[in-house]
Amino acid sequence: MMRLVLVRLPWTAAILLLVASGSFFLVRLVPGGPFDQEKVTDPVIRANLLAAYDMDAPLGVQYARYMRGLLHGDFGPSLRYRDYSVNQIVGESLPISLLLGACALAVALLVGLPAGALAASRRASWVDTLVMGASTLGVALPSFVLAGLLVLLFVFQWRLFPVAGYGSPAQLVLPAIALGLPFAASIARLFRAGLLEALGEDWVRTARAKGLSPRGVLWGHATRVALLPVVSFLGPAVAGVLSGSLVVERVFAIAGMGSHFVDSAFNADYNLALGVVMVYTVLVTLLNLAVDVAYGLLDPRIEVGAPA
Amino acid sequence: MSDPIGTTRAGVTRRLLRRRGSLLALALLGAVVLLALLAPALPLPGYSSLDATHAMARPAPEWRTADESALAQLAEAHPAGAALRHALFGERELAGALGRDALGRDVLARLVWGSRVSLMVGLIASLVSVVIGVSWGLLAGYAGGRLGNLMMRVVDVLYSVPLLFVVILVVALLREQGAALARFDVDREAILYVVIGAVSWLTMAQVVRGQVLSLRQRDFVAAARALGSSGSRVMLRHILPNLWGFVVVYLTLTVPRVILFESFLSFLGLGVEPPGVSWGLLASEGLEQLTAISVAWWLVVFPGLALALTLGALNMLGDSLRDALDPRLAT
Amino acid sequence: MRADARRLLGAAAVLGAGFVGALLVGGRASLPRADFAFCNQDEISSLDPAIATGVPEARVLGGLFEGLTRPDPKTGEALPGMATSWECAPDGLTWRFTIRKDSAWTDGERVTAHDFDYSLRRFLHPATAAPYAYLLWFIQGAESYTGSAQPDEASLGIEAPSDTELVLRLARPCAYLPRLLAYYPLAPVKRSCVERWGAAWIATEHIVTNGPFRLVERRVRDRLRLARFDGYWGRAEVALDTVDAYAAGGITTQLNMYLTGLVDWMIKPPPGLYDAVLPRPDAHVGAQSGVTFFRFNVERPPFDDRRVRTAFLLALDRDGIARDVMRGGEQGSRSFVPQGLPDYVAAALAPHDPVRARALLAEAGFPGGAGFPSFEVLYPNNEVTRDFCEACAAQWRDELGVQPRLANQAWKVYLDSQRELRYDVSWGAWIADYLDVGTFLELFQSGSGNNRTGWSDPAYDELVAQAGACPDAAQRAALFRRAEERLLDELPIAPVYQRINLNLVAPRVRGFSDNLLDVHPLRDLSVDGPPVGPGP
Repeated sequence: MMRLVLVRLPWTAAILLLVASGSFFLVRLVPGGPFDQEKVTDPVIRANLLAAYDMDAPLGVQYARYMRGLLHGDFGPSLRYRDYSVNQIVGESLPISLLLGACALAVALLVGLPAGALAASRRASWVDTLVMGASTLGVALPSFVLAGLLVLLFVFQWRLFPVAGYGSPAQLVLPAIALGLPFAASIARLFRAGLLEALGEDWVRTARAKGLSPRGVLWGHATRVALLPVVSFLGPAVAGVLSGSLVVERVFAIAGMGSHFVDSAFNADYNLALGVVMVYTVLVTLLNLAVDVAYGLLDPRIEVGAPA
Repeated sequence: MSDPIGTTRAGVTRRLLRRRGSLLALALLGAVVLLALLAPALPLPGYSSLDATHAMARPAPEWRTADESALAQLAEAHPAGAALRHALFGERELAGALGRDALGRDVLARLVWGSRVSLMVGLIASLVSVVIGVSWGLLAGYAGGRLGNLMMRVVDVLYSVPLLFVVILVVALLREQGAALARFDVDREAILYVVIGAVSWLTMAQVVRGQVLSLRQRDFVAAARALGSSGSRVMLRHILPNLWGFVVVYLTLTVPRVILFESFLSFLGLGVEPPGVSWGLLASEGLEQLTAISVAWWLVVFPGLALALTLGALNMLGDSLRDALDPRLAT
Repeated sequence: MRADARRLLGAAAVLGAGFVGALLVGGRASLPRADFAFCNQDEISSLDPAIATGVPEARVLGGLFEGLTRPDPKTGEALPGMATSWECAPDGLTWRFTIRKDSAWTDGERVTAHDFDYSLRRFLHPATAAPYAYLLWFIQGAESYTGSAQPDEASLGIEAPSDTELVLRLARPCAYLPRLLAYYPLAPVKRSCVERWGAAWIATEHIVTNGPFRLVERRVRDRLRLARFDGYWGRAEVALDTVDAYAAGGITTQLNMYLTGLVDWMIKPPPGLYDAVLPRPDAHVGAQSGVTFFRFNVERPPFDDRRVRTAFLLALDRDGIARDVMRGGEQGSRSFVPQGLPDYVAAALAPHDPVRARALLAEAGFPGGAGFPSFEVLYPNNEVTRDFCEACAAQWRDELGVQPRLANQAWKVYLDSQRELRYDVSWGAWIADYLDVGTFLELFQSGSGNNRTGWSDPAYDELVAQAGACPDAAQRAALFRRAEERLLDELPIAPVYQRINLNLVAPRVRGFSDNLLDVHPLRDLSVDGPPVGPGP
């Protein structure tokens, strides 16, 4: 386990460096820059602005300065929200996105696992067809369409939830569902497939024949085995939740990190765009690592003492 | 052609067609593609014809005389289709069948014309990703050793990079550079397709490489090498043909992912631009026009249904193909 | 089995702990609803008046800070703010302001003339890099002050002879100075606060303000909370206790927040919904100090011919387009300078006359449009703008027989194309920051970066320069009018319609007056009754 982590670290550092450098130059290719507006800026004022943000130095110098700042964990000032540094903005918005993501994953697991188990235990019945049909559609639906449908039903039709904002638990319900349901669909399919495969194994049939109750068998080894593909799906799922939050945060007016990304690209807020990209890269890399570790822990080949 | 995996085309097709779900999916997809191809011949209003007097109209089909300038524009852009339409339906058209949006545009017309763009995006971007993915995986798998490992390492690295954000940056950037690109006669839409395809090839590469690795051990490959075939010849003439099955499966599964991604970009304002229309753009416009004043459910439900049913059918087809291809995997 | 159960429980425990952790870290106490809440369109760029730019900033900073004057909510005229009175010397070059004695900063100290001396100097200083610094360049020595590496304090015409007297010496007259001084970039900041905290002086725990409200809480891209400041001199007139300015969400979300009662005021609903929104009693529609027009690239034939440009203007049914295409209550342009500016009667634009248009076009050598080259109408990518340009292009096609093509570009590319004069005809709009004729007519001076038509007319430049230097209001207006007449004669631009302000305001809100600048000081608003969503 430790070896896995240690091997990954230099790669992670290399990836971060690559992403930072690539994005640094990519983002500056957008014409106009952060200080352009419809009303033409007087050249004197423009010069003052660039000097104030150290943007009048040659690009190589700016790059060196930025990289040095990065090594100290300093992403620089935001060019659009002039009262804040990127670290402050990330510090305020990342916890919000994390909470939203956590709720979405909770929804995905709490809906997906039971649905998959239900479908597996009632295989080839109408319940199975219904669950599988719903999940096929669920995976095919963009999250903003889902968000729109939820708002239609639960905000306008039946006034159950607030339309937007962040602060109260009620305001998190619809966003979490919109974000988490597509992943619930995938989890249901994976779990069901895994359960069916596990239940088809020889030793399970033997155990059944020996008289062990079906429920005991189902909730024993089969679940643990079937969870494997779900766990390995969690990696891309969390990455998907993070990127899906871009959409949900816009629709429900949540000040999370996802909404910052697109806006910073459009506002040419270089530092914030880079900061967000870097944070996401770190998160995803850590996640993949965590998933690999979890996979190792859950893999039956590693366990000591199989059931009789 | 050798068939080491034990699946004949006939066998695959038989297994595929035996499942009712896949038949349904095929029928649905066939209908969608047919409608898309026949769009110019259908008696519908223009997809970007604004009509402020009917803004936000509920679904209410009306058989009426078409607008002349719209017909003229259609004839100019699609002469064959317009002629067919005129022969079949004359000057009449079906308006407002699925309602209208805030600017008075007909939802059904936009759905039909949007399907052309969405399917085109799906196809082209998937083809791009197939070309990149298969080449990469083939090379990595056949070369093996350090080069192969390095190539797969690159894939791993790319998995960690939030490609989504880089794509957003690139598309936003290309948007800004539109004038420069136009001077070089490069179509902005084409670039969009290529960029979308360029982020979707990773899984394909991994799967292909896995297959190549196992195929490489096979007897027929050793035989070919013994007979003096060069590496590239073996790759192209012996290994590649056996990959088609998997490629078709992943192609079918990549198309919906790509269309979803395009709809995501449309929501952010980075996808197809007006007056062009795609399902993603329709869905996101519908969301924008959804307010408590005018609960225009038809603007969200119909594009959503189109996406869900079509992409769901593609997913189901892909799953069925995968099961049919390797019966050992069937559940 | 026990090992399995333990591992499963372990995994569940880890997930659960992660969830609770996320809850603790991301959850925050929800604030009770403020007295008055509104959607401020976007997060503000800064709380520092000197470096902030934009319209959402004006709403918040106008509540937190007060300058020498403040705007009348109905007319936009200058009312006493921190200055109780002011006078101007006959030559128009020296202004004296008397600062009131009953003002206060939120830290308890009095606002003095020295504060304004410091703040205005800071505003002009190159190190501050104020984007609006040019607003004060009519002050003696100001332009070179902003442009020099070592600004000379002594050369700047700002002086505070005593605590209560501020003197401004101008290099050229500025008739609208009192109105301008109400604009938020010219608000005072407290020297001791800025010097002590540096760039962090605007943090909620450090900031010192002098306006009717003080800052209570700021959540970036979520909301800003203001509370009434009891030390404000006009405290008796301020009715609101707490104010929330929301920054999150797109235009549709903002509308929904308004309709469900989360906010009391919402600005500019989506144009596609005008037909549903405008008849409502809570919709406040009014003319804006802004105009939408077409620019002609006068360096490109055939638009270098005045007759062609005039023909294009006359062929447009401006009122019809405003009524049927824009549908927001816009008025077709009767002049270039918008109607309703104080002390100014605008020059008259020729009315819709397709017959004369065709005659002019024939005279220019293109009878019935024959031989007229196909040309492009450039516009920034936006559905409503496209709709408008299509309608105008259709009228040109039908009335004149010409062949327009539409070309759209992303916003920044569009700006670039205009600046580089890479277009034939281009959509354009101009909205005034403060109420003065000059901001409209100075656009088309020869050297102006905002001209972007290639048009250069020495007679026009002369008239505008003279008007700018004129201390007498009536004479100034007359000079500007002559300049505008010249502009409407030469027509490097074709004005089409005057823009509108559209606000949705809940019935419980009082004191909301429609005005050209769309300025609605929080100080003058009050609420009557509990917040209730007006509903659909």
